[in-house]
Amino acid sequence: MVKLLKRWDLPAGCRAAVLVASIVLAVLTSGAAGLLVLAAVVAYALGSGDGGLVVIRKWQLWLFLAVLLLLSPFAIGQRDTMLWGIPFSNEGLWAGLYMSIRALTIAVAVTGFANTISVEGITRLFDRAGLAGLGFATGVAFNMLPTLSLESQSTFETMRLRGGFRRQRLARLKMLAVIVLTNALRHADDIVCAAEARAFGND
Amino acid sequence: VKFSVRELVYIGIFGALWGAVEMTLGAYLSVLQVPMRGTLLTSIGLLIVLVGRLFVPRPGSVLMMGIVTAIVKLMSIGGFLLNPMIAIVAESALAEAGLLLIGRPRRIGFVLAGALAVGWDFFHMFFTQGLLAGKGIYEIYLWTIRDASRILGIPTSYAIAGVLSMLLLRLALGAFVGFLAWDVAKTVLIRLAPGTIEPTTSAPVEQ
Repeated sequence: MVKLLKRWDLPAGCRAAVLVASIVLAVLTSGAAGLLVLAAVVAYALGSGDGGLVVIRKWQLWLFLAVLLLLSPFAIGQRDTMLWGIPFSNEGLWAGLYMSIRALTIAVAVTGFANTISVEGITRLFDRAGLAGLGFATGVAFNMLPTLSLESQSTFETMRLRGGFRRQRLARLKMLAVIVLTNALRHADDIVCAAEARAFGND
Repeated sequence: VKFSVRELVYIGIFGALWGAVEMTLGAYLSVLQVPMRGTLLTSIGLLIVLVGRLFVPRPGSVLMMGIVTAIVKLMSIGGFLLNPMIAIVAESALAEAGLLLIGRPRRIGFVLAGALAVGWDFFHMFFTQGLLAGKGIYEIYLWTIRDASRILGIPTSYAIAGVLSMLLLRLALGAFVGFLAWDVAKTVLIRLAPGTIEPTTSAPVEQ
């Protein structure tokens, strides 16, 4: 079943629509309906690829859900039930459970979308939505990301190894920012020339 | 607003720079579990996009840089992506609002934009947790403050004042970042001005 679902090669627009629908349904539904939405989102994430359910490995998410489940019976509603001598609210218990289901649904939907969509998919999505400029800027950002990361790190390391941050730290950090930004903008000029040479226009 | 090719490239570059900070320094701070790392990352990111505003002085440019950064973050491996993505877009939208309020690029606009954007960091946790879990989470917060005050013997107003001081700290830091961004932007403009001497990295070294 999962292998069959993995063959789905949905366009980015469909994936975005599924994401929006999942979030809207998670917000609007509660109780058993909420559980059904969660099941559908998990099934979709499983079918979309290996990264679809990566969020369930995050302890921060489980900590958040645990806090919701453990504190809601004491914080929400009247404490009308006793368990092992501890009074708690039945209403709060259910409210905590629904909140956890909703949070888990949204988390799986967003992470599933993020881990299964490509940069090209997002760029195409913007183009179709009439935001060709944003798609182009995103493409530039992804192309330049490795170079800029490397240059920024090597600039920082060079300054650090020369003892640049031992005194006047704020002034040195300001200088680091100026160097990194100036170098980045010099790259920008090359990209502008290349784009203009290919007659790229935001028309 | 329609941007030229040059402006779009600048938007991409500044978005990539903020994205690079989020992915490298952000991952590092996250592993070390440094407190207030979100505020620190926001401050650096804001400094970058505010400098970018001087190079693309058009309404919406900072917001677009923020959206590009959020997409870069979306594509990064691992992590719970919803929180930082919402934070980046909200902060850039608030910075944009601050800049639009003042009008043409001025230092006071940068200061206001920085304060608004870094100030968001205080509300961010409440907003995203409310979005994820619904309004019930706010009842949990109020109950926690009430009970913690009772157990520790501190008046509730003191606890609220303590929480509000965190907001003031962020607003002050944001204003400082905006102030600094103006200086950095001016220095970068001078460095890139025609006629400025290029760095002589390949110059022969005298023995």
